[in-house]
Amino acid sequence: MMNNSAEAEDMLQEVFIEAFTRLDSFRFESTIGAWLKRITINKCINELRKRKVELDYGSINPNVMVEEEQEEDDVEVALSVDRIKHAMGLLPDGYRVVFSLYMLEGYDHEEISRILNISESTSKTQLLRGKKKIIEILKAGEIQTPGKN
Amino acid sequence: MGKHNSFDDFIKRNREAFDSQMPSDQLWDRIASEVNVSQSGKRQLWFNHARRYAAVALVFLSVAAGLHMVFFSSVEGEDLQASLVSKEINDVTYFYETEIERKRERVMALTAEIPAIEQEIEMDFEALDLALKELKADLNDDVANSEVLTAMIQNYRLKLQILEQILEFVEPTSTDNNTEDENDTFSL
Repeated sequence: MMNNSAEAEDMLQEVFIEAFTRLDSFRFESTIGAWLKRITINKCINELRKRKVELDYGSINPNVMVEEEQEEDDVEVALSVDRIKHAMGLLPDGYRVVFSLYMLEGYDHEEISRILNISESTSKTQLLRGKKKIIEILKAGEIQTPGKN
Repeated sequence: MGKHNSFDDFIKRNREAFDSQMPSDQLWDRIASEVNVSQSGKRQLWFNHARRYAAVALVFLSVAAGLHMVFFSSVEGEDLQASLVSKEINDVTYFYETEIERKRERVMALTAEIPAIEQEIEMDFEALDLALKELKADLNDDVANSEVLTAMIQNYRLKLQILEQILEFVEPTSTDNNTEDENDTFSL
């Protein structure tokens, strides 16, 4: 989500310290893992906002969304984990955050809309645009996979 | 749908491979050192909370004990019950006071050059001693019951926890010592 290993480690450090110091506030309403995950995501999003990263969540025309979804269906590209990870690294932060939360962390659009304070339709569109962008990058061969290219 | 879904399916099938990056070993060292610093600050807060909880618990239990005496005490069998309770109280008192004394001596030996720690213990123990004195007075008034005894045990355990938390920070790190402390903590 942070798109940078060193920053991700800093976030992890802060998360664990915060978790230890706030352990009293854990109310067993979820698993410890889910609680830690939520703290991590909140911290990452706050950090991105603090850096004034523009999480580009514009208003969405539902018709455009449908067109985009249909467009995605026609894509053909070779897939590998490394290539997708690198393509994710090239995404704008707004796309990458929604893509990560939905595709990798398993949140649905309702949850993402609450976490990011955006509408569900915006979340859906960001996801579709993120996917589209990744596939475009993969197709265009714009990425450099370490040790492979 | 085929190509688009295959992209989603590919990620789902290979989800774990996306978590291939692991944090460095140094990260856990940094977290451990930060957490230790935070905890020493938090300990003072814990002391304050403990004092407050002990005071509240004492008031509640004293009232409960008083009510119990007024409404439920029975003359029949009083001598036998008093004898049993008295033995139990003696056992508990002996066990905890010995433990507390042993740990307090250990703390003093290890912190002889830091008088502030002893002063802090004095302050923390002052409130607890006062509470204990009142509980013992209840016992002397033949109000001995399980609630009072429970309150006494809580009082002793609070003292032990305070000493154990200090020892955790001042004791030389040795596997034997740590193991002994952990055993002490969980056997109480």
